Amino acid sequence: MKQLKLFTLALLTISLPAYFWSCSSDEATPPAPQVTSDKPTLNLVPYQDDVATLTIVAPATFESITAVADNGVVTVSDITGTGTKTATAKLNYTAPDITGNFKITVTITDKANQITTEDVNVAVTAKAPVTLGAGNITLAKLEKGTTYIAAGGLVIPEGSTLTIEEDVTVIFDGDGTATAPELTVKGKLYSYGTAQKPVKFTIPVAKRIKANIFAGLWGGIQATDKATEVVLLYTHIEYAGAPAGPGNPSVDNGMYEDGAARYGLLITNPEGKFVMQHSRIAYTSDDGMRVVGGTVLITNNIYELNGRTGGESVNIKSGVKGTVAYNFAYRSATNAYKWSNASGFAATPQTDVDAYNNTAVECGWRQTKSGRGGSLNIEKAGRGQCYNNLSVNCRFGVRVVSDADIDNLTLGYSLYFGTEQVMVDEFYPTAGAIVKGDKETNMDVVGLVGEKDPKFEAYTLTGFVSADVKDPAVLDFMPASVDFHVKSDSPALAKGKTGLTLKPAIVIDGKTYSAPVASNFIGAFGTK
Amino acid sequence: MRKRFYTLFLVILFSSATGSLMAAIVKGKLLDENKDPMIGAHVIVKGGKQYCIVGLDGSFSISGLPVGSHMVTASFVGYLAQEKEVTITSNDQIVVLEFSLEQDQKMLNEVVVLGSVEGGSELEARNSERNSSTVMNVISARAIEISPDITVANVVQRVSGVSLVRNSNGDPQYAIIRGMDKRYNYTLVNGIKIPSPDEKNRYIPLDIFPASLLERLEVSKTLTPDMEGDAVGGVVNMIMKNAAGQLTVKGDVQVGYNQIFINREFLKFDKKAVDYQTPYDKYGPIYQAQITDFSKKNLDITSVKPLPDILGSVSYGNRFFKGKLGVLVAGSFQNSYRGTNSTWFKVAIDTKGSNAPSLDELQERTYSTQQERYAFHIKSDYALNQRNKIKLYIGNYALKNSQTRDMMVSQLDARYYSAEDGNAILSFKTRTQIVQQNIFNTTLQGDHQLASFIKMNWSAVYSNATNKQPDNAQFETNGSLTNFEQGPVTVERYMPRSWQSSTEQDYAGYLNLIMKPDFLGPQNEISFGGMYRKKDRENFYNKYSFDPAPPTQTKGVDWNTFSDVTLIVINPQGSVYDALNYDAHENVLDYYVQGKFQLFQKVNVVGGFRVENTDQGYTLRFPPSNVEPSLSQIYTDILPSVSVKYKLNDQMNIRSSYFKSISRPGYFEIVPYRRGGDQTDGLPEIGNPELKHARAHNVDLRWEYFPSNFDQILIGAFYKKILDPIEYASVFDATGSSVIQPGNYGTAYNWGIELDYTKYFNKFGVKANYTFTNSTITTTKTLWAREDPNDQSSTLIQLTPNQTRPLQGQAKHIGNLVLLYKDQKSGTNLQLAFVYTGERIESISPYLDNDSWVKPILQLDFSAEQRISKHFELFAKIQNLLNSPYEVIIKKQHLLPEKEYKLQTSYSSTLIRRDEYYQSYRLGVRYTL
Repeated sequence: MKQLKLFTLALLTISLPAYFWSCSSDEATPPAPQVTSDKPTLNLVPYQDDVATLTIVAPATFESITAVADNGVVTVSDITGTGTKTATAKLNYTAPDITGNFKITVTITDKANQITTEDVNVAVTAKAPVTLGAGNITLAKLEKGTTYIAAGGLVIPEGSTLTIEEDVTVIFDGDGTATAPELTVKGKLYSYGTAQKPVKFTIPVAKRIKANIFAGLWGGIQATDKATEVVLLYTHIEYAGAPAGPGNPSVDNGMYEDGAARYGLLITNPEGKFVMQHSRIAYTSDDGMRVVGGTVLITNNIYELNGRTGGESVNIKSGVKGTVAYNFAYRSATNAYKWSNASGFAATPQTDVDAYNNTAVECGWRQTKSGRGGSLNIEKAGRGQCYNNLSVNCRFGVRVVSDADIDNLTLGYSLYFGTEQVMVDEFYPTAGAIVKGDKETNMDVVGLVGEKDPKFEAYTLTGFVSADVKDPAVLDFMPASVDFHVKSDSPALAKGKTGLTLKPAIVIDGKTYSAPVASNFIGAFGTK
Repeated sequence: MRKRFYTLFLVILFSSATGSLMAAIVKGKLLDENKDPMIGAHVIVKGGKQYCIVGLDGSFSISGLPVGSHMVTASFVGYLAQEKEVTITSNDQIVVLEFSLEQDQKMLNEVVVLGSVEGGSELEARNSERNSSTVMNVISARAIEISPDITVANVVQRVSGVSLVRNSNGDPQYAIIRGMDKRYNYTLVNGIKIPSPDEKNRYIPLDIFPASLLERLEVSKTLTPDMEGDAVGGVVNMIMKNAAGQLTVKGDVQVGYNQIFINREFLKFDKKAVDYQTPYDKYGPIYQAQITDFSKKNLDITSVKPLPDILGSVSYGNRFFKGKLGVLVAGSFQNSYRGTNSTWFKVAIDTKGSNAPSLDELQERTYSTQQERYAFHIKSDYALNQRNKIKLYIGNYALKNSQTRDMMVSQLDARYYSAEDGNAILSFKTRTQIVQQNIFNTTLQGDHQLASFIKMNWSAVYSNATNKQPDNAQFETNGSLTNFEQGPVTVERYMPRSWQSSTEQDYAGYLNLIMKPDFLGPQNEISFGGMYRKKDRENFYNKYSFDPAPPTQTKGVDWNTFSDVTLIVINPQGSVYDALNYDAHENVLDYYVQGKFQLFQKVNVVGGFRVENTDQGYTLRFPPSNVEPSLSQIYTDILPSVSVKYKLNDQMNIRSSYFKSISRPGYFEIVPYRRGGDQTDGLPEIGNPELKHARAHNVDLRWEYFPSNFDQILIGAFYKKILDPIEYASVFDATGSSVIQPGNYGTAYNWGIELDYTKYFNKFGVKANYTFTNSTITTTKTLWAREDPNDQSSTLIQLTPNQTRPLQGQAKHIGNLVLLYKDQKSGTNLQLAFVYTGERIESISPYLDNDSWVKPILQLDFSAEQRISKHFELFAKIQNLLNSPYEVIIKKQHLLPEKEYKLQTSYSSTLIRRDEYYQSYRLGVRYTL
């Protein structure tokens, strides 16, 4: 007992100074914070989101947390325990659009300004393509970075909306026959690509070859009269034009006769709204796109090699009201842009289109009929404005057919260039109703053979021979190196008409799409 | 058995005429007890050369008899000859003779067993008209024989109130009766309805039937309860040749030529190169057709001078087993080459408010058509005994038209076009097609006198009709004309080739009971009956399109004929996904009760009602997902009718009638099809499953006067109220687009007056008829106009005003005039036939004031016949003597009158079509045993 007392006393004697020593060492630093993640590695596919929960021990009390990623997007949220020794936070991460091993660096600072960094590893592996079953699309959204493979014809059902995010590719593996699949739109389609990451409707990579430029392998996008809204931003449609046939909803809806080539895009709702900007329609066997009714805004698009032996790039009919501006067409079979009111609807019988600042290059050479247009055509009861259009080496200039609503059509300020007499002879087409001097054509920039070269940045016009582009079998892709901006000494500059009264803006999905103002240059691009 | 006496009056007049050198004359009239002339009877002076054949009015006259005593014989087929002695005492004597011929009893017996008298004669025809309980016009075989007509369609236009719809050869094809379109009429063979080879509708092309097989043609314009009730205009009944009382053999051979092929050449293609099956038929639906699967030779055209037309017919009839079995076998073959030169203007409608037609294209067309008609029939009857008789009819009618259509199109909608300077954008289209139609009918009938007061007859019928249009192929090229110089010619894309075929089959049974119980009185009868017909039809349609590959192939460089052109098939699996691939059915069960009563000796009443149960429908073979794949319309109609004939005296009747009738939709019209709707120019056409059958109330009044058996004056009037008539009009579909759709557009009214006059003056005859028709229907039309008519900058809008117009095909004035000369002694017949058809709507435009109208047309045909021996006659026929052009106009001047266009000379109308067919000549010989 006495020994126990002694031991306790001795212990006290030792511990007391130790206690006081420790109290007196107040200036000494506690250990640095430590952090652990519930997910040491994030295994993701491109664009995929993930959340990791971080647990922090900070003996010197927790102050703040930051995170940076060497690729992808990271944020920190739900921070708890600030000012205490233990804390938690959530690490929110979105994988980049590429595959690879990346890291998120988390930095913790404590009250003592001690900094701990910890890496959370990210492994982004390629995303497997998603197969969309034939028939109605049940998804509300096609997710970005995803490749979807259509197992057959796809339908956006009446009353539903499909939103397509950037960098989505939808593959329609058509064989060029009447059974080739199409995308039928009976509801709303919002395709929101971006400049860097467009949306693509196309065929498998291996088939995207020269021999298939006019093969018309799949059925295109077919919007029925029930499709109320279609928006295509930065969206590509390629290799469409398979013949229509049994089982195609577009045939059931009377949009085509059995056997007729389907267009890259067909819009048929007279009450519908349609916006297409910064998009591209290429390699179609007939019309690139056709719009039959509705309000439209078609701007800043590229049309490449539309129509094997006939067909326009943009063919507008039947009561459409809208704007076609800043578009570029390359080697369309007949016209680049055409509007008329053929097959009219009761409520909106007149087609009223403003077409300005468009460019057409080498169009109109693949047609079997004589005198049927090769740049812009305004036909039956068409009216509107037609200014600042650039027509280069096309078969015909702007052609106004005598049954157009000529009284209510204004036009002029076009630039025509041709390397052959046959082109120059048809700047004011003999098969049309307009001659030089009519309307505002005195403001046109026009000369003899080889004169008024618009001087593209990178595309040689001189030496063009129309006979070389007549046979679709020999035509190749547009070279990647071309640039259709004009040089600073171009005769297209400062010759455009400005101050046009524009068509009203279109509002779809909470976004307002306004017609761009006309530029003082001729053509789609101006200088670089 | 009736015994008829014929008397001849002999009155001798002693003339106190001055002593001239003229010889004595014997004359008189040979009439029967009804004062009917015995045309064709012989009056012969025995031992001398003088004789006479009784003329159309029954008169005869023999001159040049010397003084003395003569035996004069009067004889007529079927009668015992009678001799009379005449004594001539002076040269200026006129003797009127009276004969009384008695019927040859032996022959008469046979006639009674046969139940028919003098089949095919004019007399029979007039008697039919007179005794019919309906308003009927009849044309006899004899009248047809001496007419210029070669098909039933030619014949029917001689009937009052009938105008004709022509095909592209200018040959009449369908009858419009009293202004009622072909859909409102039906066609019978021996009283039995036959199926149609048409791919969409129920009407029968009348040009498939050669005129030479007819015993008579009846056109009934009113209906009695024992007739099927689906005619508003009328019924064309072709009674085919019957076995006569004795051996008859008839035949004729004609050769002919058409003026048009003296003027130009015939464009011929190789018919044997035409494939009747598509790759789809041969190898199944997933087969990808290759270009080598398609014949090229059928589009290689050669120009030839065609061989002469050859037409022949032969018939043999006889009675066997003591006249109990009668058999008539007849066949006909016609091979002819027809041509048309035609100018068309394709028009669009000015959309800027004036609504004037604007000229889009000038199409200069030539048609070269080889027509081959084969017809064959057997008609036999067998009398089991006096009370029971069985009849069998088997007939087959075939028509094959092989046509080349060559067309040069000048685009007119551009300032480039100039007729003066020879500038035009041109395209050339050559189309070859074969249309092969066949109608087969077999009918077994029985007549039974079950008891003295009750008769029964029945018919069992199987018929079918087929139509084949294999490889309707078109070769299209493009060119230009600059200062009258032709530019290079290249091949067009989307060149079509289509195959179409249809088969319609009918199974039908008819049963009628006719009762004459004693208590009703001798002139009265009551009949009951019914019929059931099951009809099925199948339609097939397939189309392929072709593009040139490479796309630019220039004539003279890459090719010379179509065979040199290289093509690809755009739709290698074919395009059967067309609503024209459909099956249709129509099952009709009808029954009726009908009474015939004679009241107060002078009034005949026929009345009763008919009940028709209809089940009509379709099944689509490739139904689109959004339409009904099949449908049956089932409905019942009760159709009362009454007609009254009041016999004012022996020569005059007044008739009046009321009947209700219906008109069913065409088989295809109720199919929910949509055709031509791929945003190309022109309005799409859609079907209408909601289409109702039309019902009509018809009232007729007619006064008839028969001064003699051959002379007649008929004056009639009719009034029709048609509920829910089926018309094509421009309407808006569910989405608001303009379409053309068959629909029920309110009520149409149609009234008219008919005059019919026939008069014979011995060797001359005049037959004339005239019909005035006035019909109205109101439908909606499309009109483009500025929203604010006073502001030319306001937007264009589409209005739908109503427009009232006549029914399609109805001409206000239709007239026929036939002048006859008939010299029985020399065996000469001459006939000059005029047909006048006033203006009428050819096709309905969806646009206001733009219906196309056929201009009034007067056609003249001539025929002559000369007997050269007892058995042989020579004849000649010229059709279309005046080369009357068929012209179609829109009654509005076109948009650019200041510009020069071919044939556009009117300030008030626009010519859209002008066809010339030229004369057709035929020379033939007829043999009659």
